[in-house]
Amino acid sequence: MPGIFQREGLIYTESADPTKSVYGENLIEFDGKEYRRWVGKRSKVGAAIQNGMDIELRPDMNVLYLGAASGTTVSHFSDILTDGVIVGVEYSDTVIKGLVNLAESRGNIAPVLGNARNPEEYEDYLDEYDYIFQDISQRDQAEIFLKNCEKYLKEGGTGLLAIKARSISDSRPENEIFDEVKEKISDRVDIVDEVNLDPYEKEHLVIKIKN
Amino acid sequence: MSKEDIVDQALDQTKEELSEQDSEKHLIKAVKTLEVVEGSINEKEERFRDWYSLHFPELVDEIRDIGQLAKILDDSVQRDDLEAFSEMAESSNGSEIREKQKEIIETVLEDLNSNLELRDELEAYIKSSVKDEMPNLSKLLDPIIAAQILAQAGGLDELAKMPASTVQMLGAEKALFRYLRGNGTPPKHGILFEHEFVRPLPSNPRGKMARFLANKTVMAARLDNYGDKDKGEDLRQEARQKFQELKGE
Repeated sequence: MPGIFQREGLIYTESADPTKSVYGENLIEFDGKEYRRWVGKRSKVGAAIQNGMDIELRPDMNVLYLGAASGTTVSHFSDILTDGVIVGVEYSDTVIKGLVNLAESRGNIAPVLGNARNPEEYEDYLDEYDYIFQDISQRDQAEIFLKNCEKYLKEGGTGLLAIKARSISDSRPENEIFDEVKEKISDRVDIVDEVNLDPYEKEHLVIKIKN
Repeated sequence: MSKEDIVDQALDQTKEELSEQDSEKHLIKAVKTLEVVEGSINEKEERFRDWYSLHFPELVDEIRDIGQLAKILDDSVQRDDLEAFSEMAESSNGSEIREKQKEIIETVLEDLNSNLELRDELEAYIKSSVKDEMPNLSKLLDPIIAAQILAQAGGLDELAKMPASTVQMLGAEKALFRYLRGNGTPPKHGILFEHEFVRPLPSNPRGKMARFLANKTVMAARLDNYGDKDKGEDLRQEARQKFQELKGE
């Protein structure tokens, strides 16, 4: 996968901002370049890759990232996207401060304070994206994802959705919840891949879609 | 838009939004601090009055305002040094104090004084920032009450989205939930009780007034949050009219 390096069962991205560890991850030197470890326990995309998913993120893509939080996963996207830009949407004004700091030291992150339920809030930036990733622990996460795909995802674009079963229902079995979400999603877009995040995260599923 | 423009624009806008919200947070923190400081002043005042009564009980009884009392005792706490109260001092029932005791009483008074100053500064800060940021709300309510309502609601955005009935109950959560659990009577007012148009009224019309004022408060909050019109004076006028009507009943 472009931009992602595997070594001894662990994955790394080439650091775009050397000597800095964003969230406490290890830094290693290899062939004169610095790499940052992508920790599966901290990042759901990291976990998905370790569990065998090809996330199909290429260096020249423009990415809409919903639920950017303080920028743990965003920092690795930023490493990979040497030619693209990430628009990171986050609702909480407390955690977005971390993302703002990260954006200032890297040139390709655009932090946006907004609610992903209302895609119009960030239409000032780009009209369409090659790639959408969403990690929002909300009951209506599937609907939010579809709304954003409809408005922003290019024809043939790729999307990644991290589903947390327990934010949809506390008591129902996880497979039932995942099936329900998948059914909703596949009504509108094609699901091409899915992977459970066990053992990195409990009761989480990442699905990959194509528009 | 180029990649750089997107990043710059998003960064600028997000930082601006964050700092806007932060100025509101400063205000809310100031209100909470004021609450704590006022509580500690009350306790310290009580302790000081109790202590100083040993020496000069007549003065303590005479001067009810702690700020005034502190000013009188600013130079010396020795009753014979207080020229304005020499007559009272001569016939005082309190016991004499020695130098050592005088010093410790003065130290305690100093601490109380610095608390009083802190309270005044906090109030001045709250007043000026409420007037700047919420002109309508601060005209309708007293700036300090407006700030307390804002702090209880958690921000202007939240306050503007609240129904008036919720605003009426802000600050009376304990009584409200006690009532909802099935004990007691529903509260008529929370923070709004402190308002000059609410407090002087007898119980029944007071509830009506609180309901009326809560409605106007929400209007003012919405004007401040979403609009830029200055209607605080009109709203206050309406509230005053209602107050006079209810007072006449």
